[in-house]
Amino acid sequence: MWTPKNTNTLSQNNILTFLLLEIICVVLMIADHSAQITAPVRASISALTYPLVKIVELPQQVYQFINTTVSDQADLLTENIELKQKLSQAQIDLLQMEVVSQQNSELRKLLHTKQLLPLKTTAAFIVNINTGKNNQYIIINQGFNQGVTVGQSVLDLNGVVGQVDKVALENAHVILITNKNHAVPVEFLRTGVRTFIYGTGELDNLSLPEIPQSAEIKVGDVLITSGYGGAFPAGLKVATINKILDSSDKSFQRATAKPSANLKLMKQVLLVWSLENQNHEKKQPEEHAIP
Amino acid sequence: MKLRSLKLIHGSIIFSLILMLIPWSGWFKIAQPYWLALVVIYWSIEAPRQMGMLTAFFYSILLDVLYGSLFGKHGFSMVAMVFLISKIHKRLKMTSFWQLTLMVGALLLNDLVIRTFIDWVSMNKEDFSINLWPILTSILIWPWFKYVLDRLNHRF
Repeated sequence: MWTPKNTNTLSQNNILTFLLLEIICVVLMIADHSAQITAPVRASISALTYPLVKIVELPQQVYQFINTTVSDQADLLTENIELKQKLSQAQIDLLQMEVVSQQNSELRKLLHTKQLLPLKTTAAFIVNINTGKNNQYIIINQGFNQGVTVGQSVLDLNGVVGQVDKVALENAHVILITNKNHAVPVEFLRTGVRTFIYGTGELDNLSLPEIPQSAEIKVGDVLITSGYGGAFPAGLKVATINKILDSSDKSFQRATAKPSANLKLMKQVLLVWSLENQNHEKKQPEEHAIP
Repeated sequence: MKLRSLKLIHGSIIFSLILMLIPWSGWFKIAQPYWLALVVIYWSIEAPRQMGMLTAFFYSILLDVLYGSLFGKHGFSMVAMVFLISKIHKRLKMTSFWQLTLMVGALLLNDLVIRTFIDWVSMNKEDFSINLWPILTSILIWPWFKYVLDRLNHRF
């Protein structure tokens, strides 16, 4: 006789847990709009997921290990020679650059403008890539434990890749510049005109819908970060204009650009440490040393 | 016996999370089946007592952390899916194989719609392209997937 009653209470229980869990999810989603609340939660949960990430990374590491141990002596020799040639070329370039930067800094002193600070970068490996149209991001193998913070800029050797978006314990989520929800303050290298560059959801396409009508632009113009807003350091290469579009809007010109960074084939990226981060990094060991 | 099947349940879910993390490229990435949902559907039909909404919630939160997606997005849709299955799981157990496969498709579609809706609300974007490939590949893979898990389930 009591069985129907029993199932009834069971299903009611079900509804209660269902509603409770859904409310928890909604609260989490709303809380996630400010990184400060959920960042520690994410970091602590990611300690649980760390072994999974390691397992996924494993084949890649094994491949790299085999590749380095098995690759031919001859290959290594030719590679070595090539690299030496490149290095000597780079050193010659550097010598010239030193003279140029000396002149530059003197000129800047004359003009009383701010010095471009040298960048400190560290390399990070890419653990995972998502290039879906709605949300484009990569996950790198450095996180909270390495001192990575939200908002840090990420580059590759050719240009800007994106910005750290969320930080977990041992890895971080980097939103790409081609993500629809991302914008970078940029300026034209040739003319100095400032504008914004937006992601389009395609890996080889960025859009510039807000170039002032007065600006003179042409295909092949290089765009660099302007440093405005403080998210990206100034003077990093972002993209090259590849098409100027007809605009119905009379107040702005529109154009599309190709990202300089090799977003399709990158394996390694560079994390940029701003001065604040560097200080933070230096402070940490001292704090540990005091007690 | 119960402990073993619990091990199998959690083992298979963790394995599905690993499958979801593999960085495929190109078409494989776009058409990757939603492994976690497949495992959760299977177990919530076969072992509804062990595979409750709490377990689904827990693993979906792990997926959110691994993907770096909006916190609770996968959890919200997954809990809803397990709840739906818990309402109809007796009927699901009785239905024919093909009907079950269709039901899996419907459940996954529902899940995708919920997630896309969450994306839409949280990002304020109008031009959303819904990627239906994972549902198709999930349906195609479901028979083999069920076969393998059935074999594992009955051996233990």
